[in-house]
Amino acid sequence: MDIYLVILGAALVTYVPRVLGYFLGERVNPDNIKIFIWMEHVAYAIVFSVTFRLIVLPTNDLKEIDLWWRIFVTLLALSLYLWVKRFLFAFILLAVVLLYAFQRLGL
Amino acid sequence: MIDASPNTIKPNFNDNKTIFFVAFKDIFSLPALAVAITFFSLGNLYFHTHFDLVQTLLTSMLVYSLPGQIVLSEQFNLNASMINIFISVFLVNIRFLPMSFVLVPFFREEKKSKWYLIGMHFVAITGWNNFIENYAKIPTKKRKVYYFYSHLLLFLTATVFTFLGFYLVSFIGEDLYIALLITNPIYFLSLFVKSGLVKKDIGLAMLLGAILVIPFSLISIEWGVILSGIIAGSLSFYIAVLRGK
Repeated sequence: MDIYLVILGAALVTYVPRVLGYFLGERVNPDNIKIFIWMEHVAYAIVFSVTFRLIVLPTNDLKEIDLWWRIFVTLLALSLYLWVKRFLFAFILLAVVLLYAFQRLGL
Repeated sequence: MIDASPNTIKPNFNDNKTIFFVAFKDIFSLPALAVAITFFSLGNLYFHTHFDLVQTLLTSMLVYSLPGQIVLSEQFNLNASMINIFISVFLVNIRFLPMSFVLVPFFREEKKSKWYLIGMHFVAITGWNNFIENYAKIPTKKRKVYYFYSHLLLFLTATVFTFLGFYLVSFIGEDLYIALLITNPIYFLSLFVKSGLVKKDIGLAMLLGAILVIPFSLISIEWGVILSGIIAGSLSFYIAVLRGK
């Protein structure tokens, strides 16, 4: 598979919704277009599906870490962020440090 | 729809230099840090996906969508077909459509220009979120300038940290590389769960997506994300319609 072709294709299919949204925004009333709402639902569902699968069933090297540790640090960082409502960066770093420590300790 | 009506103009907010510093302060208070660590991790990931440096940088510059780039890498690792990769990336990035939709008032000008064609390339969740949170403090005529400055700063941060992530991968060691892979899922979850808590229908779409993706991925790892996303999104949409929303 030609990687450059994959990148160009991916760039194109990413640019289309970006610019199409603008074109449509200039021409139609969003309240009357149910397909926009459907797209929003599908897009969020897909992003969440990808994210959830990255944690539970990763295809990358994250699978080297025990499933329960992955879930634990994710829930910890997410809960802290939702509770404090700021310092997301710090909680992401905390999760990274914990996962790093778990590996070094052989857990 | 976004309210892009004129606001009270602060006297020192009318030159582009000031707007740049405002954008710089807003972006480097948090958004750029999150972008830096997630794109650093992405650079690591693409190194291990066996892309070369130029290919990796091109994904960050041309695609410039973290979820899209993660899906690209995921599907590529699975040896998915090109059409599967494009469908997956497109569906993940459909969410840009309503996001750029609401930006129209900020790009409207008396004299028709094509700046929006470039401006829309930078639409991504972190920059968009920062813009929506902060545009009200910027004078109406300078909001487009603020949009470009803030988005360009994020774009540069993403590109530089993709480079650093790719380049430094062999220096950081295997354990840290693997630990850094958790940054992207946590970042997405945090941003999107926040949206889902505000918009309950979207929250249902995300919940259903999370529930369906594992069984669908066990049936077909290649199509699991696409199928679960379409079915979960359509179901939550249908439920919202039934509830009269």
